[in-house]
Amino acid sequence: MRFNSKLLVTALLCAGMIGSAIAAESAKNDKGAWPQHTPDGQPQVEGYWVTVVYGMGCLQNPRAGVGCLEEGEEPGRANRPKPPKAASRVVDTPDGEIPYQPWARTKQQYLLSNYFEPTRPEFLDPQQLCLPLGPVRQLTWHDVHILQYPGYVIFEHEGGHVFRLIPLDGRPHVGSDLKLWMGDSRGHWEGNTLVVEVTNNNSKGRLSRAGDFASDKLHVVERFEFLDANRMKYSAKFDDPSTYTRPWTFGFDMKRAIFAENNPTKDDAHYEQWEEACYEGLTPVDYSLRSDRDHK
Amino acid sequence: MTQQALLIAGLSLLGAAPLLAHHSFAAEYDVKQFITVKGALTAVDWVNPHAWLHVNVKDESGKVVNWAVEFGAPNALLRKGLRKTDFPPGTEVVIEGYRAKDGTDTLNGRSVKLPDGRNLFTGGSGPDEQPQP
Amino acid sequence: MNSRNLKAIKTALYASLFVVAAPMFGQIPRTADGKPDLSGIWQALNTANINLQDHLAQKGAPAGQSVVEGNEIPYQPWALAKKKDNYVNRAALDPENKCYLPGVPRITYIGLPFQIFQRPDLVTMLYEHAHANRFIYTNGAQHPKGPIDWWMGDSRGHWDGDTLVVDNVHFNDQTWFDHAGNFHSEDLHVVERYSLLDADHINYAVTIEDPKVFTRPWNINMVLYRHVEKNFQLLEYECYTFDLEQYYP
Repeated sequence: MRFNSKLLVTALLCAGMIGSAIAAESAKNDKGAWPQHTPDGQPQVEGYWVTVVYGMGCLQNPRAGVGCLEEGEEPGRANRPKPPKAASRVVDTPDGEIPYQPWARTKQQYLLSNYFEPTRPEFLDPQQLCLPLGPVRQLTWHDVHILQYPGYVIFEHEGGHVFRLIPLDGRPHVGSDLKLWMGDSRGHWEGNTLVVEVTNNNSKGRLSRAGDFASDKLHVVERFEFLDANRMKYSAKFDDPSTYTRPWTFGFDMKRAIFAENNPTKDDAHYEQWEEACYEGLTPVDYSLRSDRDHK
Repeated sequence: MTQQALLIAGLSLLGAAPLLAHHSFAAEYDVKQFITVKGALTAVDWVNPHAWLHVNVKDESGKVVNWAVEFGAPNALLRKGLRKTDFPPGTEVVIEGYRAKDGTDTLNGRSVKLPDGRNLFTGGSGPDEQPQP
Repeated sequence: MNSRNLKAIKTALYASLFVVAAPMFGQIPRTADGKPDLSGIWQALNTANINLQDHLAQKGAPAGQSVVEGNEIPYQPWALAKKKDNYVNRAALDPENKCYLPGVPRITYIGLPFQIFQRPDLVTMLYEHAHANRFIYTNGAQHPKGPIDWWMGDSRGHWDGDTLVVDNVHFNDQTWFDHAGNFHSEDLHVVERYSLLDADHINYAVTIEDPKVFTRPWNINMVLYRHVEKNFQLLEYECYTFDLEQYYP
């Protein structure tokens, strides 16, 4: 009988489709599947992560200038094109604003109004002086290197030398009188989401350059939801009844930092986090205050 | 450094945070005073969070004044393979930048042109990236 | 029960004594890949941070015995003069007054606890002092090419039997080894050796060389002690914030 090449090709194609379906099914369980797991069973998420939209001048529009001022309003940005509006980092209030109590809103506006001509130390943003920015804000400045060791997740922040240790063994927090710049973290995994409770916050790092802040009564619950090898959704529930009228959520998207657009690579194994001392390199210009006679 | 590591180091400049994102430019420097200084390098401090160039500049009366010029974090340059010894004292430079509000001989540098036409902090011929808030 | 079985039981019981008793004899913990496990929280218990050499008590600073082998730091003549000048002016000149990163090895004995995390490719050390941190790459990657001016240098490690050997270069010249004014140049090269004496003690041996400042390499030795208190953890010593924190939030 004559060999039917069309039939053969069709048969081969069908076999190929069935074969790749089988391969896809088994791929879920083989070495290439995401996520891999650490020896102690954590989803493997190590590497360098950074916010998708960068900026901490304004929580409501992270691409805008300090205090959310638009083109022409902010000194230094008069000649720059207006950046496209980015989503507010305050993700669960009707207007994207932090729900301050009246006294706190007054304080925030007071700090912001003195930002460009600071006459007193309180008007210098903590980040300008390389102070630790606190567990949440620190994620919005430069990359964070996530490291995993048995029973721990470590955040090593690339800006300045600041780290956060997150034990996963459920040990108690330290005593409530101890207020720390980076708070006291306790974490656990829920599937591919790292849930971290942060107490003992001194909140001195503020929340943005616009004078946004919390008090040392702040209690935060963070969720780091890893969506795939290169994307993570971050949200932090802020609870501070002395400062806000209700709890609210600080949220933003993060991405794995070591890749070019449209060409993600999982192999950031050769990238090393090098020293970025911060405080050591400050000079008098970083601390300078305007005297009243300098005011225009 | 392996090819792969070099590639990744290069990519990191695209994916990682902007270089000049340390502090509030607008609070320390005057956007209305964009000036150019020319002179010879006397010292290069490759420190974080900002590298500093120190330049001897002749003013109108012929007096030599040493200016301090602030640039971005040096790690980006280190990852490109540059070292401070590539820019020895005596190198003639042309620097553009914004003067400090406190009136000292301090600039926030936007570009440094070397004698061969290269721009130090970008390696290209365009101006530096603007500072992020 | 016959005598042979009884003898077997007695032998097994006797052997089991050694299994239970072995940790008391100084057995060290090991990782899955067979290396001594340095993981945990450690602290030096000496006054090396005040002065590496023999020193008597002064106001606010206890006496201490030298951690320097032979108690001599082999300065070149010009450097010895500078060290003496540093000592006289140490209250003003010690970079630790400004809370600058203390460099290596001073960060080890600066007086606060630190935590070691260990796995085959990377040993991470996190210090309570000013949130200092060190990555000690044990994956075979080499030092980047110099010159580079880092406060804490660049660290590359490998295991030599049961000793973690850490090679450190690329230092700036801004740090002191102690409050007594002992100093170095940018050519500083530090080799640390960490080995477990038993589960709770690390023998920390360091060779320091700097051909610009010293006539030969010299060594310091000390013991690091494990923190075994329940729920002990690192807190914070952000010394550069002490004058500023009153203004925030």
